[in-house]
Amino acid sequence: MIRRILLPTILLVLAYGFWISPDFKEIAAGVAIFLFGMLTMEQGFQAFTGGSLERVLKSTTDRLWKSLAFGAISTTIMQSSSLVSVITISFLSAELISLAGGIGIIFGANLGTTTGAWLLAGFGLKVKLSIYAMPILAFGVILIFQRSKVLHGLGYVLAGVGFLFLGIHYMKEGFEAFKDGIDLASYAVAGYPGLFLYVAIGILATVIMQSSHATLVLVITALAASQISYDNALAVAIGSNVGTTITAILGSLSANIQGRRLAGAHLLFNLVTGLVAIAGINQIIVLVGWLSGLLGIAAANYTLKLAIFHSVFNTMGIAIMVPFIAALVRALERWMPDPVPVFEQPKYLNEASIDVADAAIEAVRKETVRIYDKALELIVHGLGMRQHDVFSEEPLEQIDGPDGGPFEEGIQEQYEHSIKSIYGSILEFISRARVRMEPENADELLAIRMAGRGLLEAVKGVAHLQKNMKVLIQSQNPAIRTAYEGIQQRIGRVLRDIDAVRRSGEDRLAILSLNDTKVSVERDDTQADRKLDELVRGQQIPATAAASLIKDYRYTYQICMRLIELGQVVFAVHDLGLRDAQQSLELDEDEIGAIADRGETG
Amino acid sequence: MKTKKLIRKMRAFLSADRRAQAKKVDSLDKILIKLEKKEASLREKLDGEDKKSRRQELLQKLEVLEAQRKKGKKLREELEATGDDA
Repeated sequence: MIRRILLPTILLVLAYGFWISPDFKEIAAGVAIFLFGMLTMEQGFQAFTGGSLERVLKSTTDRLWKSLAFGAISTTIMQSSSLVSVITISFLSAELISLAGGIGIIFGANLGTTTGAWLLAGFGLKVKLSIYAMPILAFGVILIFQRSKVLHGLGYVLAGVGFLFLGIHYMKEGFEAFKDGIDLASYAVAGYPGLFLYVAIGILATVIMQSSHATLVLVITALAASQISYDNALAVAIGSNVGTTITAILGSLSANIQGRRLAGAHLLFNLVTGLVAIAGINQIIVLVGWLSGLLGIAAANYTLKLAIFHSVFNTMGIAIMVPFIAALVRALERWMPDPVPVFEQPKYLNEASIDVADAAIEAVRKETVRIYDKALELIVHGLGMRQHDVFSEEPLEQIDGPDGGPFEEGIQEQYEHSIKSIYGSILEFISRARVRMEPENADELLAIRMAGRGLLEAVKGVAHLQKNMKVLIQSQNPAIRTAYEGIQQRIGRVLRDIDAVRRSGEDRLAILSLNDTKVSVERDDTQADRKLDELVRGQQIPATAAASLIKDYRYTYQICMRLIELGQVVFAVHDLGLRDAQQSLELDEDEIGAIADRGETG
Repeated sequence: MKTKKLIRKMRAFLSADRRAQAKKVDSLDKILIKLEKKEASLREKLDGEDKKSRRQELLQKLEVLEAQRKKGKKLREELEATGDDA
């Protein structure tokens, strides 16, 4: 509910602000350009991930001091601790670095983020940043158009920096004009109530802008324009440090447990640092004054003093927390334990049936049918079809491409969690059951085992097939679209035939009808190949699509055959004599091939 | 002749393999009869079908059925032969 009304409320407040104050419009535009710059820069850095950068990072984070230095330096370069946090989370997820190493980076990033305050306070406000922004933007955009991945990424990084500078310029301009209107300093609250109020403002501003850097820019520009008192500016800086963890927390929502632990460490570090800064604010102010004197900074130069304050309290936080990193890792692992994988359990395999051959075979058969049902759902939905369409009386040709149904996502995960795990249990059950069985019963179990393995291969085939099909079934080229619709129909036909056998129960001939299905699969495969040849020769489809289709026809053929073989085993009649007789009449590969060929030539 | 038949029946009764074989022949017979009936019904459908694609489908089914029947008949003959030899 809150989520639903949050965005319209923010938009309305902004619109109202724009209406009543052109200066507010300038500040908001500055923040927007600044955040856009951060996004652009992040996109640029992504171009450098996936190879050498990862290798360098791994070797530079294997010791605590290295990871601290890495966090500090990378944040100084990127000017975004959020970006460093997100990259660190991705490293942790890929198990390229340890949690302790990740925590070191985050601590270092907190130190690195203070350089932003230095750059802004010492450099940004005295130079017209837009002068640098324009050429950087121009160079960046030219590089973005380059084909080389490195130049393209560098272009985004430069454009990002350009936008950052431009954003700062607009925010500064906005506050300059704002100064003439309202004197923010007159709202300053003294003492601890003011401290807590402005800490809260700092948290809120950072949460809204998703950037402690942006909050610091705001507070430094406001401080330079005397819109905010020095004490209150310090409180906002403390708040921004706490608020910045929101980005990592949001980022960790989609991350694995390691990412969440890292976000937890980030939050804990910034909370402790914030609390220490609040508790010792007066002592820190004295220390900042002393350091300013030492560095030759004028007593009234509050913007540089804020930068010193920011550095001092973050350094203190690191000094306090670093000795406890190992304990922190242990505590986080205890508070956020590794999730126990939720794998589906077998339903029919039990100890009672393992000693009785018939019961064991029936249990294995039923369990295999169970995974067939799960696989069926994945196959049908994974290929963008609907079960009620596939198993209806309607001709399969009427299942039309992408409109048939959405393509099921996450086939691999579902396969791992249900089908593969149950099949693992089946394998284990069979290996124990068959040692106590007569050879003919053991052979039956092995046949079901083989059929199950084929089913797993079919599901994996669908996962491969889906990659191209999802895109190409919506192709503007009707020949490509028709080819993929044909694949849907071929698999749908096989599933329909197997379903008919399944519903026939003890019908003595049903299972033999799957020989006819096999002939159809062979024939369809040959016809599809021939059609593809014609299309390529007639230049009706590009070579890349033809290559995809050749591969996908192979997957289709294998999926169909594995499914039929499973149907022949698990849906066979129960009567042993009849089953043997049926099996002896089943046509072998050569016989099937011969009939399919005759159909083609005839 | 009577004695010969009696001896054969006795032998069948005493031999488990022979019983299993006989059961196999019996099952095979049942399926072959069914296949024959199905073939006749398919031929009837084929005669009444005008649509080309449907005719092709039926022809393919008939071809598969014929191959299965042929295989069944051959197997039955072999089983009979081994039964007589024993």
